Amino acid sequence: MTVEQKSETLQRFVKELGEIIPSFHITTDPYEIEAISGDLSLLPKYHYKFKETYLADVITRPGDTEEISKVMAKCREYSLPVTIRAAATSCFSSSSPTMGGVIIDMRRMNKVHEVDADKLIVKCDAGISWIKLIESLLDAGLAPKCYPTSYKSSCVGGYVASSGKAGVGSAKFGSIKDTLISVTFVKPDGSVEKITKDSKGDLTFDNVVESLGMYGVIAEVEMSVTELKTSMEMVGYGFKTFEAAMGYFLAIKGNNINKPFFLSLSDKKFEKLAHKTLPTRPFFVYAVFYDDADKTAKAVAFCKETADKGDALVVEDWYLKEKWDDIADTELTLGRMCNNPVFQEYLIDDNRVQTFYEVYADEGRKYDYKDAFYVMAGSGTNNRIKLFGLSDIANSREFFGIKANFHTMTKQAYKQSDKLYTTGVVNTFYHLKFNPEDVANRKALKVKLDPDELVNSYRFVKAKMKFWRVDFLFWVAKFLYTVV
Amino acid sequence: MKNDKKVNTSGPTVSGMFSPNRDNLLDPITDTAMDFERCVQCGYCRSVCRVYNATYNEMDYAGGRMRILKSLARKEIKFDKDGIIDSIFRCMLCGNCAEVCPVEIDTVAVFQKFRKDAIKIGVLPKRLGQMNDAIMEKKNPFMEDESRFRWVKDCPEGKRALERGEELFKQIRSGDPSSVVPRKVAYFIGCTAGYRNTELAIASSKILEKLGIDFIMMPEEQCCGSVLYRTGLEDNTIGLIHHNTDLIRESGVTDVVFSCSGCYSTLALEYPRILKEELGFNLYHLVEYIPMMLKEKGLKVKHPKYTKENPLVVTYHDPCHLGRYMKKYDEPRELLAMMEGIKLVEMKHIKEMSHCCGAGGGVKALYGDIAGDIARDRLDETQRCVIQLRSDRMKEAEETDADYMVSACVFCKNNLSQAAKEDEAALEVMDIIEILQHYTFYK
Ligand SMILES: Cc1cc2nc3c(=O)[nH]c(=O)nc-3n(C[C@H](O)[C@H](O)[C@H](O)COP(=O)(O)OP(=O)(O)OC[C@H]3O[C@@H](n4cnc5c(N)ncnc54)[C@H](O)[C@@H]3O)c2cc1C
Ligand code: SF4
Ligand code: SF4
Repeated sequence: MTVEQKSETLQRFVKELGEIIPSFHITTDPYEIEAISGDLSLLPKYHYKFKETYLADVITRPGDTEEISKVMAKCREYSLPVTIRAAATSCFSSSSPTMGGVIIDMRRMNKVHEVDADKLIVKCDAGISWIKLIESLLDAGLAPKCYPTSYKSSCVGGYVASSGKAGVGSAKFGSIKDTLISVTFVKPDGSVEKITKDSKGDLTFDNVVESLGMYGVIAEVEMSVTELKTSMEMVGYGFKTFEAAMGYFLAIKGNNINKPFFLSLSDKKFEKLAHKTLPTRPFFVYAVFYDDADKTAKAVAFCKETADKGDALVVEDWYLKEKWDDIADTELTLGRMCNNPVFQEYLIDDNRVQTFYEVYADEGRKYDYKDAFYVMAGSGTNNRIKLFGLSDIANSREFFGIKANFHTMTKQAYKQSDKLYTTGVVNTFYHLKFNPEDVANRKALKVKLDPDELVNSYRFVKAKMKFWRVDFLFWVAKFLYTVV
Repeated sequence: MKNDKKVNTSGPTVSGMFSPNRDNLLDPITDTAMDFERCVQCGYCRSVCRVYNATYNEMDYAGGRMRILKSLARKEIKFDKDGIIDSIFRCMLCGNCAEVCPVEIDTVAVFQKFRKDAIKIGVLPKRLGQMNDAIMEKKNPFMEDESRFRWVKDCPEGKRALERGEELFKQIRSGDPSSVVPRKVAYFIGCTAGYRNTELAIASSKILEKLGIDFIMMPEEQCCGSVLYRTGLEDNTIGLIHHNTDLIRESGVTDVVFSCSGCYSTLALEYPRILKEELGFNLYHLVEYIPMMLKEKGLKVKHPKYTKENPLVVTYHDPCHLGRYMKKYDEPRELLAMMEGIKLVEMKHIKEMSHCCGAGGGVKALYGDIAGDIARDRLDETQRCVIQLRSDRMKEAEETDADYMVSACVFCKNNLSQAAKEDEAALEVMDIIEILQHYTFYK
């Protein structure tokens, strides 16, 4: 297609879209397109800069399921690539375009449709931010069972699509899938289907959760919620070794009397990021209990008893409270100390966190950049581990050195049967290399639902980046950092 | 609806509604000129930005604007004088984004610099140009030729204060220091109370006199420059800043009081920054000055009608300029608590997290009327946004079942009153000062 033809087609598309949704929710404004085409990880722009397709051609903001359905059908009619975007906090270009086309911005879909305080169920749009949902539920004396610590901006649909296995509430109530009752789904052809645990069609619950937008749009969500509890207590202990801290972490996680509402393990370097006063020991386990008073008291007693048996140093209450107040900010405050914080997230099983840490500590000796290690307990045996590096993109040796270290750790994760927490666009090649079976299954379903591979397709099915190439580049980066 | 009385309000569900706890955080490495580079694009500020919540446009909240700034700085996008106007000006400068920013970017300072830089390279919405000309020529934004003190003919207290001011400057300029009767307090009335909301100037004068203060008003007072400063025309404020500062210094007063939060924050924050020196006199908003004086003089206040048993129920709207800019959250509440028969019921979003009324940052001035140089649909979008913002805040106030929504900023009052009228709201909007003027002061 020539440039003129493309422009003419887009104009027609925009005009016809204007008959579907209000015109001020369709835009080709270059500034808005620029503002919406990236994420926290700096990556979208730089990976695709040279292809010039990291920018969308059109942005649409549908307001309800019907509008989404019509927009999807229209995109298919015009064979335009679609990127589904919520708050873009899952990073790694997960919700940024790679082939231009249309961004479906979900955030105008932010209504709570029904709160049933007796059945403890909420029905809401998928584009609602967690913070807005939390505020709305609060009025009814309710709260979501689980949500990511990015809740101040991330959306319900984004958490569902990225499988939400670890966050606030996950260790106690399970993953987002465990709380879902139904999902109203718009497929790439525009058809709408309500998917429940019993759905037997092309799409199942499992496909929708962790779909990363590949199969279509999660438009509405129905999920179970919990009553607000009356008692909240926190415990925190410092440990001299990772092994001792992990032992304590697992004991709390596995205690069936009352599971923690939030549980984390961090190294001192993580606590040190931007804090003036911090726990003195090298490792810190932090647990929050939120329940009826008697259950909370029992859980806290268990934590104290267990801590007393080992060499644990209690952390002062004020620090624990402050940490809770800032739970959404804690992964971001390092941005106060550097220009470009970089990070990578992993999904690691309880039994393998120790090995993962040991390899990390070992590898870390080869580097001298400022780093940090943070574990957040997830549902079941899941844990979300986040590695951080403080960097400045202007110092490319260091910047790519940090990335090379993350690459080594990613290979380690897959080697020990774990994986990356988020498969975005820029890290999709790991999944292709290490998880070919899952890729094949996804491709098969994709062919059925989206034969032209238009919707969020770079993930898995259209990925061009080759593992060996990236592996080689990171080998060079590591060499330049550690040897030269 | 479940009974939420037993709700543990320090629990998880509400933590996000408050701004983060920064007591134990190290200060960020900042540089206002380049601070947009530190934005990590977390989007936390998106949730609190009332403009974004009305338009859903990604360039309307702080993080989106920071991204545009980054791309402009790296020359990755073109600077289009007309196209970029909305991105620059559709922001209330309310500062709520700064309050939640985990990396503590002074977003308002960044945006004001963006406006200033953009204007330097030729971005000047027509209406802003007109406002600038009015202030430059008439020393007020309303194109008024006459004095800002015309209202004193209906207010003996104001008249006396103006006469004291005239007398003071005459004595000072007579060259005979022995003739000068020194005065301690000046009331800076500002353009809006002087020309449009004279009820506020009248109420303020009455209260100051009831407090037994021989305050003056300064006949040569000029626009404080706030509107120009907020909209990026900082360079044009220099003359006004020098004029007002010199005038106050010349008067010899030690305390300057304000009924306008905009004037107050501009003199308190921007004057010393631009002059690069201390002003040498104290600045107070009346809602903090009055409680101070009441305490100093051992006075109490009571209303002829309202009592503890038969109270006037009010909800308080924190103006951005008094609250987030000047951190005066407790002072107006203290004043309300001192007023017998006033019962304060709080809205959901208060203090640091108060929602902007929608009148700030020059948005209303720029987009409130028809501005020929802005594309029609964009103008509609922005006007809709202003209307929605004030209407949303009104709804939140109505939920409290209060009789009045009170504030301490004339712009908030005007904008919210308009919403009350448009939405036929069940409550009225007033300035605290207007209610206080009907109180009796006693020992
Ligand atoms: C500070 C910080 C803290 C975090 N904490 C956690 C945490 O505790 N736990 C956790 O799991 N993650 C966490 N994350 C990662 C991220 O915030 C979560 O994965 C979050 O759920 C993503 O939501 P989002 O709205 O930002 O979605 P996006 O990032 O916009 O989207 C994620 C993916 O889902 C797709 N998608 C989004 N909406 C839809 C929809 N409606 N229909 C179909 N597809 C859709 C997108 O195309 C994309 O592929 C954190 C990130 C940050 C920056
Ligand atoms: S200052 Fe207010 S209006 Fe402007 S971006 Fe920040 S929150 Fe939005
Ligand atoms: S809160 Fe701060 S860091 Fe986050 S997007 Fe807004 S301005 Fe950027």
